[in-house]
Formats: sequence, structure tokens, C-alpha cells
Amino acid sequence: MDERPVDLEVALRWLGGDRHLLLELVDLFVEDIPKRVIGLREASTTLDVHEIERLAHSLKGSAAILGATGVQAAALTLEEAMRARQGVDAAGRLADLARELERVAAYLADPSVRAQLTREGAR
Amino acid sequence: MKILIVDDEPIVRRLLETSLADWGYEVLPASGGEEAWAILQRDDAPSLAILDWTMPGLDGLALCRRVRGLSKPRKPYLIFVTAKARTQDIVTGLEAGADDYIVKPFNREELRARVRVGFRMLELQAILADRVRDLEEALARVKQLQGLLPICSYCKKVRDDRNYWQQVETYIEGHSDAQFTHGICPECREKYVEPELERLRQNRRTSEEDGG
Repeated sequence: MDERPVDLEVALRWLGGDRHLLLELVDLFVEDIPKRVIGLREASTTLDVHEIERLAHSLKGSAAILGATGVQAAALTLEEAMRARQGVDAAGRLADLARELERVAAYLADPSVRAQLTREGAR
Repeated sequence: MKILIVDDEPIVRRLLETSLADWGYEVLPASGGEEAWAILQRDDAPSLAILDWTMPGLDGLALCRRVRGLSKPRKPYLIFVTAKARTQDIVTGLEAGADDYIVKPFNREELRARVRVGFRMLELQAILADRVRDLEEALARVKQLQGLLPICSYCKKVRDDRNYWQQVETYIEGHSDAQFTHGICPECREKYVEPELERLRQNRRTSEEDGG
């Protein structure tokens, strides 16, 4: 579990080594996290299966770009459960995803992680 | 060259925008299907669009179907860039009218190459459309000379579409690019011209005899 929640090296490979762009995308992602968590919770209280599936799917794509593998996996699990319409533990899956998102937010807000990005970005 | 990008995810939109702008394209971003649809109906709409599939409201698949139903002569080249990665999804996307399909997360160099292919296709289409237009214009200039022509068995006049009897040469000149230059064939010279000349000579001899 000590594994880093975001593999920025993976992200950098996708971005062709562009650290400025990576920093910008990280900010966009972090900025959106509270909104996503609220959206997922709202959809789960109204039992809107389609909306949960859509939100999880969108999140999966963005998480993949940033190398946020934990979020990506949790989002995929949730998306597939919603699509299968099984009597799965949706609340539990949602909680898993929310927890992963919070880990990512905390990691990306860590000054040493940001410092590393900006410093190397100033090359 | 202008490209429309449609994605509800800010990260993806930003990534696409930056990448395409770096490669020298003019980018028009839209965050949803309805916004993209409004742009695509304009006269100055981009000729290439990159679409996400899963979006709130009008999704990429529905947008794709709408675009294919447009009555414009030149329809935009559509590339899906989506996290829907199952084979069945790819088939559905292409069947709905997309020209290409890329699975997220996408490799930037692959995207770049596929965008180039898109513009190459559009260029080919434009060249073909120009050719067809040129040919149609040429065809309109060439007058038609074909079908069953009613012709008089005696005088050889031809009856035209408006029921007038025309000299055969007038008719042909009016219905083709051919023109006539008149002469006399040896048979007709013998049959018509020689007797006529003979008659004239005869007349002259008679009048000389009468006068002398």
C-alpha cells in the first residue's frame, strides 16, 4: 500500500517528457477531485446507475493519462459493476474510488512532489 | 488547418489542445456534444473533429450519427478518442460513421500520425470533388448527339425536338461541336453539276446562233 498513487514517470512518457504540461494537467485533475467525489456521491444517493458508470468511465480516462493507476483500477471496477447491473456493493466500490482519489490529491499536493515537478520543469 | 476537439474531461481537452497546437493546428475546443454540434453546422466548421464518446447530454456516438446525416457536400473527418476499448465499442463507433478510432490513454505520436492521415484523406476527397465538378462542367458543354433521329426520306431534313424540320447540317451543328464545310462529291458532280453546265453551254450556243 506504500506504493505511490501516481506514477508521474508513466504520465511523462505519455506527454513526451513535457513537464510543464504535466504540471498543468496535474493541477486540472486536483482541482476537479472534490467535484468528482460530490458527483459520484450524488449519483449513488439517487441510484443513478448510468450516471455513476459515466462518471467512473470519464475518471478512468483522465487517471490513465496521469498514471494514477489506483484510481484507474477503482474506476474501472465501479464502471464494470454498474454496467453489469449486478447487485454489487456499489457504496463500497464508490468508497474505494473516493479513497483512491483522496490519496492522489494528497500526493499531488505534497510540496516535495510539486517542487520536483517545477524544478525539473525549469530546465 | 482547423480541428474541433470535443471532450468533457478538462485534462484530456487540455492535452489534446496543447499537442495539436504544438503541431501547428488551429484548435477549437468544445466541452460537450451540443456545443460541438452547433460548431459543426457552421459554414466555417473545422474539417476534422476529435470526439470523446462518453459525455453528459449528447454523447460522441449520437453526435457522430448526427454529423453523418448532415446535408453538407463535404462532411468532417471524425476521429474517436475514447477510453471505450472493447472491440465491440470500436466496431460500433466506426459503424456510426467515425473515420478513425483511438483508445485512451493515447500515444501522442500515434495521434499526430492519424490526424495527418485524416487531412490526407480530406485533401484526396477535395481533389476528387474538383475533378468530378470539372467533368460535369465539360459534360454540360458537350452537346448530345444520340438517339433516334426522324429524317425525311426525300430531302434528308431532320425533325428537331421542337418539331421543326431542319437541314441535316444545321441539326448536327446544333447538337454537337462538329461543323460543315461544303463541297461536291464526284458522283453528284456527274449527276447534277455536269448536266447543269451542259445546259448553260447549250443556252449560250442557242443565244449566239440567234444573235448571229
